[in-house]
This record gives sequence, C-alpha cells and structure tokens, in this order.
Amino acid sequence: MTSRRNRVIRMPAPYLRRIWLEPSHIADRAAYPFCLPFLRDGFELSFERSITIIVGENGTGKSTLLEGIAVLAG
Amino acid sequence: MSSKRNRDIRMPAPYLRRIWLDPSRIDDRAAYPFCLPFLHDDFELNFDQPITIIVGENGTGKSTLLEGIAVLAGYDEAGGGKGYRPVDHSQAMEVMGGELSDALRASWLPKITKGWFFRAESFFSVARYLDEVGSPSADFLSHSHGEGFLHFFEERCQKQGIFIFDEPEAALSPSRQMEFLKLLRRMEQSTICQVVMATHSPMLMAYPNARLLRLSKYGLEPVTVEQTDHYKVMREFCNDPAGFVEAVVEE
Repeated sequence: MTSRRNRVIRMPAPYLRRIWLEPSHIADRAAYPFCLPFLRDGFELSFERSITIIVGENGTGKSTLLEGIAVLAG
Repeated sequence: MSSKRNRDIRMPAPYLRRIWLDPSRIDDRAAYPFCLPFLHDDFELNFDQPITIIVGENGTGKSTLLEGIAVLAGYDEAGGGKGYRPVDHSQAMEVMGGELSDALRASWLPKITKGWFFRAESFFSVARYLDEVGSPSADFLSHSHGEGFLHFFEERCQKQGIFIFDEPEAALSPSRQMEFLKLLRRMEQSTICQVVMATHSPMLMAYPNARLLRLSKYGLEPVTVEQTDHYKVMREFCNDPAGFVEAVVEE
C-alpha cells in the first residue's frame, strides 16, 4: 500500500553517514575556506548517531563546516 | 580654551540618565508593545552607572526596551548606529522599538547620540553594510562569526557614546566572552562609554561595576547574579551535567 517514497522515509537517521574532503576538487588551497587548518587532505566526518554536536573555539570553521553540509543537503 | 561643545563631551557616562513612560502618548494600551506587562503607567528606568545590564526571560520585552532606547538615541531599531540606517531593515525580527520610543521620555546629561545599537541577529547585515560602504576596517565577514564580533566591538567601542548590546554572547564562545568582559572594562575605564546590555550569559552579567536589573512582568528590579535563574540553572548543570540533562528531557 505504501509508496516506495514512504518506505525510504521510514529508515532511521542518520541519513548523512559520512563526508570527506576530495583534494582534487580544490582549486586554490590557500583560499578560504580551504585554508582552514582542520581541512587537511584526509579530513572526514562520520555521522554514527542521529545527533552530532560540534564544539570549537570561534574561528575554527564550525559555521563554515555546517554551511558546507547544508549545501550538500540541498 | 575649549569650546562649549568640547566641555560637554568631557563629561563622564552615563549620558542617558533616566527614561520613563508617558501614558498620555500611548494610542492603544492593548496593542504591542504597550501590552507588555512591565510597561505599567509608572514605568521608569534610572541609569546610575555607566554600565546597565538587563536580564530576563525570553518574551518579557528586553529587546523591545533596548530598541526603544536605541530609537531615543537616534539609531535604527534593526541594529547599527546613527548614519547607518539602511541596514537590512526588512530582516529585523522585532521593530517595535520605534513605537515604544514615541511613548518614552528621556533625560540626558548631555544628550549623546553617538554610539551603536548592536543585536546578534543583525551582525551579518551590519558587517556586510560596513563592507559595502568601505569602512577602513572592513572585511568582518571573512572572519568567523565570533571573531567578526570582537573585531567589530573593538573598532567601534572605544569612542564616546551610548552602546546598546542585545545578547552579544550569541556568537561568542566562553573564551570570547572573557575577551568581551575585558572590552567592557576598557569601555568603563574610558569614562566616556555608556553601555546598556541585555544578556542571558551569567559570565557577562557578573561584570563588577554594572547595575544589574531583572526585567519581569512586574517591571525592573535590582538583582545579584546569584539570584538569577540563569546562574542557578547553570550551577545545577555544572554540578552534574549528565544527570541534569537526563532530568530535563524526562520531564
């Protein structure tokens, strides 16, 4: 009875499981945001729980990271 | 030798000494903001220290009160300073300060209309505007949120004026709030800065020489940091973070 679309929606979070940096997509390593110290070539973030909380000093790039995830999510 | 104007300017803060409600100027008592419980007919607020800090639960009308004071000082309610009016006004969440200010009277010694009205939400639009008009210290937006804040504060807040801060802690980590406390100290020591700040941060409300007032439906009353719910809740939390949160979400 249920549509395929509804079935997909019933899967539990987290939906975004992992993000990682693709260094070959970076045009200019020296430009913001790629100059942020945490954005090393091996940067990755795994989402293991439905709620992920990020803490960090002002200026470390928390907001930029969240913006990046928001854009990924459309 | 000095001009009259300069003599005035050397007077120490506070410049805005008192505001009070003039009920005869209110059109409609039932309409916002005049229906706010704290706005009794005899509402008044005395500024007896250069730094006044207002605490109060969300919805009591703190922001509206600050907006009213800002408009009295000649600022735009949406945030910014005199001469910076077109700052993204359409985006302002609450712009009732203008209506409130029409029904407020104020005594000044002397009237100083320089300064800044600063609300957390409008920071990006203020910064963008400053960039556009080519402020010598532009480029706030390339910093992170909180870094832009302090950069901005430090550039603006060493000059004579009345400075209104609405929840400056919103984008400041605890260590940045410690820097903000140092900025308050510098402003106080300059003797030419009057500060009116609303905050939920116990750390900021503990600033030593400030007049701390609690806004509730009954009006404004002097309080100590230890008497505020903000402090009591935070103390309970710090005693047992996991247990505190567990109890809250189970309620």
